[in-house]
Amino acid sequence: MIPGLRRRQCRRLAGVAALVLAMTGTATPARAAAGDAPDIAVKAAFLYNFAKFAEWPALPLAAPILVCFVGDNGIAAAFSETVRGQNIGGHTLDVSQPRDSAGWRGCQVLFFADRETRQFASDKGGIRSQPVLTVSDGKGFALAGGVIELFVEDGRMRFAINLDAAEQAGVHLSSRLLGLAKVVRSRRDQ
Amino acid sequence: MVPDMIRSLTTLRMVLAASLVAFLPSNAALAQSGPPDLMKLTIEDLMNIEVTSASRKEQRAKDAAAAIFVITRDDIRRSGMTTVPDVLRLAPGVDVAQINSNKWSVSIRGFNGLFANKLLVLVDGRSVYSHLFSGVIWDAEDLMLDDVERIEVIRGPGAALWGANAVNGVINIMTKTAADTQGGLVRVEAGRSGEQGAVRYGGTAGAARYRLFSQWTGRTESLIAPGTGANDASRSVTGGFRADWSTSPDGFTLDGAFTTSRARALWSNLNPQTAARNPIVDEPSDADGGHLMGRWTRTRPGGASLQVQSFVDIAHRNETIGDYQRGTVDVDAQYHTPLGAHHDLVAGAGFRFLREKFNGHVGLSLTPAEDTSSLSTVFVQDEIALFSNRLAVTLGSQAQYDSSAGAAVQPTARVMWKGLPRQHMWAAVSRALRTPSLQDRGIRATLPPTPTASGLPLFVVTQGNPAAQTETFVDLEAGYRIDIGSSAWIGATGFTGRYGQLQTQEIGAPIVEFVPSPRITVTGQFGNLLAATTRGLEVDGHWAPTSAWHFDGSYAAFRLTPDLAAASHDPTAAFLDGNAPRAQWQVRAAFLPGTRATLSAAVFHVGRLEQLQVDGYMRADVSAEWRFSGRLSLMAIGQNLSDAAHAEFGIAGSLLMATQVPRSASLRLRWELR
Repeated sequence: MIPGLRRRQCRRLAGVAALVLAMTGTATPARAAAGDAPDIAVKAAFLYNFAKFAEWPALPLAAPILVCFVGDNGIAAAFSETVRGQNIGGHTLDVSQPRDSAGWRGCQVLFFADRETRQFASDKGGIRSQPVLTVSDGKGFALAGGVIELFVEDGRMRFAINLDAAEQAGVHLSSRLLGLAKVVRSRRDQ
Repeated sequence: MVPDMIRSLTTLRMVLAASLVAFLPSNAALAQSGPPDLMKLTIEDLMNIEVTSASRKEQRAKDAAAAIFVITRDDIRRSGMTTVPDVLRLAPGVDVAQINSNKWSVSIRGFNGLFANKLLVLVDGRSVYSHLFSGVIWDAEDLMLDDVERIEVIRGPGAALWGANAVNGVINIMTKTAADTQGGLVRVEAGRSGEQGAVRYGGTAGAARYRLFSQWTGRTESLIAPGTGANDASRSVTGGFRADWSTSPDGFTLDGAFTTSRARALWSNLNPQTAARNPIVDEPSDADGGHLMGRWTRTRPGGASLQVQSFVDIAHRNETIGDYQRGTVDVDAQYHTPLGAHHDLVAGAGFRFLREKFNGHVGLSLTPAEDTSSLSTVFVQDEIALFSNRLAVTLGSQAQYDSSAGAAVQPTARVMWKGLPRQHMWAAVSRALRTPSLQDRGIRATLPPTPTASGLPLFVVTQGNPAAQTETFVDLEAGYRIDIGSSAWIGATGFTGRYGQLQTQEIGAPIVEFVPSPRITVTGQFGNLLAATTRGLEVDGHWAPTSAWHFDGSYAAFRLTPDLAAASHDPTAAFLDGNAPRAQWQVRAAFLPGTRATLSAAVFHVGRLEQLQVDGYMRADVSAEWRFSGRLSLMAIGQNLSDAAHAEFGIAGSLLMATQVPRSASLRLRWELR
């Protein structure tokens, strides 16, 4: 290759880069579209809605709703950031990341990050029969006895509710939530 | 070499600095404009938001004790690229070289070639590695990129989980489920490099979702030199379907496709009668092939899952060198289960049956011309979580029995430490193998004669070795990754590996022969007398200062030191550099102002290929997409803008001639119907 070509290439490249910068620089940056959002933010918003449409019969009136996260896939941070200062029916929202399964029982909502569903599956502490709304974005979570599973279909967030699991936990979910969910049942024969 | 590296680093720094200064939002308020206030939306509205797959991407890359990079559907769409090999340029450390208008060589961590024999490529779990050629025939897979969900690129050995020939890396292409491709799609594009049209329809039938698709691709000829065409245009047509249905707890997938392509390519003329007059011929390079695959998945309460998958695949190629036919039947089963709170176990077994036939044309033959072989594999991998999940140890191994190469074991041990906040550290040691192919054992290629002083013509013959040995590899890797705030991360991977029994070509003494005509023959027979050490460093990072801006960058350095046995008579092996650049880098930026426009720009630099004597090159791409509505969009794409044309690969080691890739611009119209 001719030695001069490299310099010419660089010059042309600089020209192209300048053009791109000019193009992008003059465009008015707008707020991110509501039509397109990172999935952790959407999941955090779903979690907030689940808490809003759930009822814990034994929860005292002034007590906070404790939302716990097992494993960190960024949702805990996204959730804390977005619910700051919010409350649901007079209950403030507290966020916690329990160190081990002993800390799960005090939670109203317990979210398992995708990879941590095995901690739920292998739980011997009877979390399934505690009044805890278990949620995960791990595949097969609802089928495995979790209450709500978040999944993506057709590029949009959907959720499945295991009615048997909700019943066993004693958490009441509003009919509005059930109407939007894909309803599954535990298979007790396995 | 070192000055070269410093120069590219300096250039990289300059480009980075320039892009930071220029791209940094000048409006301070912009920095605070976070994601839309999702808390104010109703749950019904939330269900209508299209989500991006970024966190899944990051999660995958974070959790694995391996160098994984995920190319998402958003990355693919923004890139404006139309072929899988081009899209692979987005991943750090992948060497992509376009050989001519319709052929590519793709490798990771060296050993690149038309058939890069140490890289495994899977499409939805189906291997597209050609056993005979020891490599991937990229033009045989005309995938519709609209339907690709993501591409996982794993650098380093993946043999323990994926099996044979996953020596230097694994590329795992995953297509969208039929549920994700409901409704219609029409895409047409045309420009300097060719034209492409794609249609897809996705619907529902009872409990099943399905899609039907077809794609036509025409590629314009590349150049021999700026202004001179190479007459290697091609066109191909693909048609296929995918259906998914589930009756809890079972899920089923059936997919199939057929591709037929007609191309031309420049080859060395092996015909002794005409070679002196026409050393290079342009010849047809035609291919037809298809597959049918079925998969059954059962999820059990408790998180365990069983998956059984089977495919049949047929391929036929007609090139100037010969006529090739292949039939493959493959069955795989895999079981995944958590065991207690600490173990996550995956185990599986597979069987592949292969029948191949090759009728060589003038100058080339294969013995035996027809071969039947089988490969049986079993693997097990356990991921053990310790110290409250702060430490994860993964132990795994694959064992295989190849009907021609015998038994082999490919183990791996990996450890990941997540003890420090926002940081992931991992290290791994693995062994991987490349089994000899039919070509390694039985090829015979005679190059056209050259005159000698003795008056007798000289014939150089490449001869396979029936006793070809398995190439071995032991690799050490370590990686580190840190999240900087919630909007940026940077990661680095270092590796060093030792190859043994690499293929050499042992040149014998000249022999005078009188049949079929008087001549001097020099035979180079394959041997396995080369060892080599590789080492390298790969750095990649991502920064999204606001949700409208995305920056990605990567740098990869690679060195190969050959260690040729004293007994070897291979004249070139001592200069082996892996046909890979010693350094390559890229910087990409995307800007998404509002709902309608997407702008992106990318600069790639690939260093010089020393042994092939191919100069380093820059590639600059830009694209701008405008959405008229949620359904209709127009995209303008510029590719290879930094020069009129450049070569990306050389001819050495292949009979196929490399040409030059020209600058191009194109327009893409995309229409979605729901």
